[in-house]
Amino acid sequence: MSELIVQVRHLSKSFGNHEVLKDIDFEVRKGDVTTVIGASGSGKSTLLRCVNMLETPSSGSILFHEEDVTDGTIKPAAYRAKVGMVFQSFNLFENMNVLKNCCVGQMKVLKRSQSEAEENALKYLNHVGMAEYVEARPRQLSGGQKQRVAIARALAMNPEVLLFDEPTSALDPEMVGEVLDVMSKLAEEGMTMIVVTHEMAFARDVSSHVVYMSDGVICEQGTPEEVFGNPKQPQTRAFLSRFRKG
Amino acid sequence: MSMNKKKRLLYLILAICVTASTLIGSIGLTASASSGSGTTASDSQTTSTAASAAGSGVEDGVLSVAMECSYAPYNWAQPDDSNGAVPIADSDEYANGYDIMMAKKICEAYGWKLEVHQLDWDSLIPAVQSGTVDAVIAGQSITAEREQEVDFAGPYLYASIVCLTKSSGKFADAKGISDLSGGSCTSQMGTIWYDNCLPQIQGATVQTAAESAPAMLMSLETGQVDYICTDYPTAEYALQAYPDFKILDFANSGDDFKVSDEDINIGISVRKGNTELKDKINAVVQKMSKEDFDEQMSRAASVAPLDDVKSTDDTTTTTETKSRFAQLGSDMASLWQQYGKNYLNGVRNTLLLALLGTFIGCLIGFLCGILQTIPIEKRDNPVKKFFLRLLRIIVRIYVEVFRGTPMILQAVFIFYGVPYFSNNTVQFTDKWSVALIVVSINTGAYMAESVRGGIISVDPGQNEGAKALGMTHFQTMLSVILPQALRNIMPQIGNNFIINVKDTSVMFIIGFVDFFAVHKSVSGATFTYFPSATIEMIGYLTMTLIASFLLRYLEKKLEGGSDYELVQKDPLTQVAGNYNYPDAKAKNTEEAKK
Repeated sequence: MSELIVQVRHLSKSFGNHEVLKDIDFEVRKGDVTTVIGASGSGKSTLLRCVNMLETPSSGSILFHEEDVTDGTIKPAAYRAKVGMVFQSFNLFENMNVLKNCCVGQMKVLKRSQSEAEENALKYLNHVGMAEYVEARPRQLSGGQKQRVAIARALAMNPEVLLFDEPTSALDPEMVGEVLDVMSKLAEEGMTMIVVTHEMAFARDVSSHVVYMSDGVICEQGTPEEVFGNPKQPQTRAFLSRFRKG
Repeated sequence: MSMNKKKRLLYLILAICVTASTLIGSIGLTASASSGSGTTASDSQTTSTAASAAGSGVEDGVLSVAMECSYAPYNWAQPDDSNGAVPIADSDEYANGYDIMMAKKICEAYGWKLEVHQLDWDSLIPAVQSGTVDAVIAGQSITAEREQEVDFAGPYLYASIVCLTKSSGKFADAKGISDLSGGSCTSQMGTIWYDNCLPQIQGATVQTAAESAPAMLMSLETGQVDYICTDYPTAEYALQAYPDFKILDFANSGDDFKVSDEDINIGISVRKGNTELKDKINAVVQKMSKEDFDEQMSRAASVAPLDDVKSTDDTTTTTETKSRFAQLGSDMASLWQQYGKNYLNGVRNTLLLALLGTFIGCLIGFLCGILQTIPIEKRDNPVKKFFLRLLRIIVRIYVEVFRGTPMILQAVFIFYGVPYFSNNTVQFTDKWSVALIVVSINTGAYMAESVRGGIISVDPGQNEGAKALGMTHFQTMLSVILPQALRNIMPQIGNNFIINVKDTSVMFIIGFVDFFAVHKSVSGATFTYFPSATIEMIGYLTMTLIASFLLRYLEKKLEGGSDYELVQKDPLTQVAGNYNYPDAKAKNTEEAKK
């Protein structure tokens, strides 16, 4: 078995009195493509944001290479530099062009030189097919183009694991494909990924591991064949049946 | 007069502001460091030191005196040193008049060097009390109220009280003050004319006091009042500017204003207890007779700048509207010819102060904005949490205090209050730095809120995007949030700048010579009000219009261009937006089939 990268142990998260995540346990190994599926409001995105420490867990711990990141021994900023994140709403920096968007993190956080950062940024922009748009501003791009730039921006930091928070949910249907293509390509190249998504076909075809969440708990997890082919829990069956009909 | 009350109110505000004084200190350091560039060179900056302030003030061989420089024929400002005028400290102008002649006489007797400070009427007594100047020679009557605040040498002039009315008006033939009943009247604020004399007229409607002598004359000229009350030198001089006025002198009628000798005795004020300087001044002044005084006054009136400015076509009748405009035009032209340099100098000072003040204020505002938005998180240790909360409270107090008090009082507090409360251990001799400090911290207080609003208005996703890359709060702020917030608050920065261009005019209170102060001094020297006021209106409008235009341009620049070039290596990649990766696609469809 390959090396453990992220372990989530007994993770709980409450907003006020509302418990969004209840005692979550799972782990991600190098090269895994873990997809998290489930109905809206089941806590998928909160789980992902907790893994990236954008939300502080109420209890439980998150281990990165078996070191706890929730007790303050690792600075959240230093940790996040190694864990890339792609958002549903892209969150490209509106005041910078495409190239600067992909360079600013490298230069400020990783202290790379400008030429080094640009070279690296261009490599990944080329990878997602956006290299010729380096001078464009985010607001001049389509949703699919923005998301591909956001992926290149995250990749340019050379993260050990890449988190995707519903990367295609804000896109027009005809643009979903171009983003999923890029993600499939990354998975194929061995990138470690945790993907929260509603794209069942992607979860089934690309991921190595599927986590089904319902009401803040992990209801079922396993390989795509196990979860999609032979779901054990009645909730999982009910959830998946809605997609089968369509 | 009301100076007592005013001062009590002032010091009350000072007491409230004391908590903020530490802030002023720290910010003042940066402010004064960058103020040097705009300061007109002055060799007088080190004269009022802490050591000398405790004694008579002239141990250094320099007698520093304060006056309005806009109170002809007593004192006025002129653009050159003709007729024995002396330079005004921190200004390009020269002062002359009866008071200057007297000051020179005193200095000659002891071999002192004369240094003239231009200050607003209401600032004269605080200036001598705080030791900012040694004496005030400004045509002040020796009143019991003033004697509680300062000591008086003199009298150095006897100014009998008269009234001015229009020679065509219904009071033109008044023989005594009882004939003035039923009229409306006014006089200059804070003078015995207004406080003691006008109330003696039975049945007269006393209107609100005018802020200066030219304003008082204007209210008579425009028919707002039927007559005004002033002293003989002022009235006689006013006749030159307003030939349709008539002096009503009731001196020998038995129906005159009842005034004590002290009221018409004009004196020189020094700090309370400074008997050494007082005696020295008295030794000079008391050698002169009333005739000597009158002779000196007529000499002063004869060299006053009024004659040069009043345009030659005075004979034209001014009753028709058309010719009034023509008159205004020619008056403005001759004013500009004589005082153009002063106006331009005022414009320069105003723009420089507004520009630097807005810039430093923005820096302060941005700093406060960043400090206020540092997130306080649960897992932070208690010490850090405490300091972050304390920081927010300090910023809050700073914003509320400086946004909630008038800039004019802040200027007085810093310029006079700090020397007063520190017993002269801290002295400001450079008006530029004080003006800049006040404008900067004021703008900073407004900008702090604008910046906070600008930061809040930036999409929270921008912050998360930066955080997800591992950027710290300060990196996120500097690279991502503030550039966008700056774009959002650009219109407010512009607003602040334009407000500063106009509001820096309150700095006349500490004698800062901005564009508006030039108007005060020119209209005081020439007794012409509208020509100078019209020049000011045009000047301010020109400055603000240019500023608006430049700001719009800057906003567009910050917005960035609306088009971009595709960087193409391979023309085929132009369709990259719809580009598919054959391998991945194949894998997808292949597995989907399974």
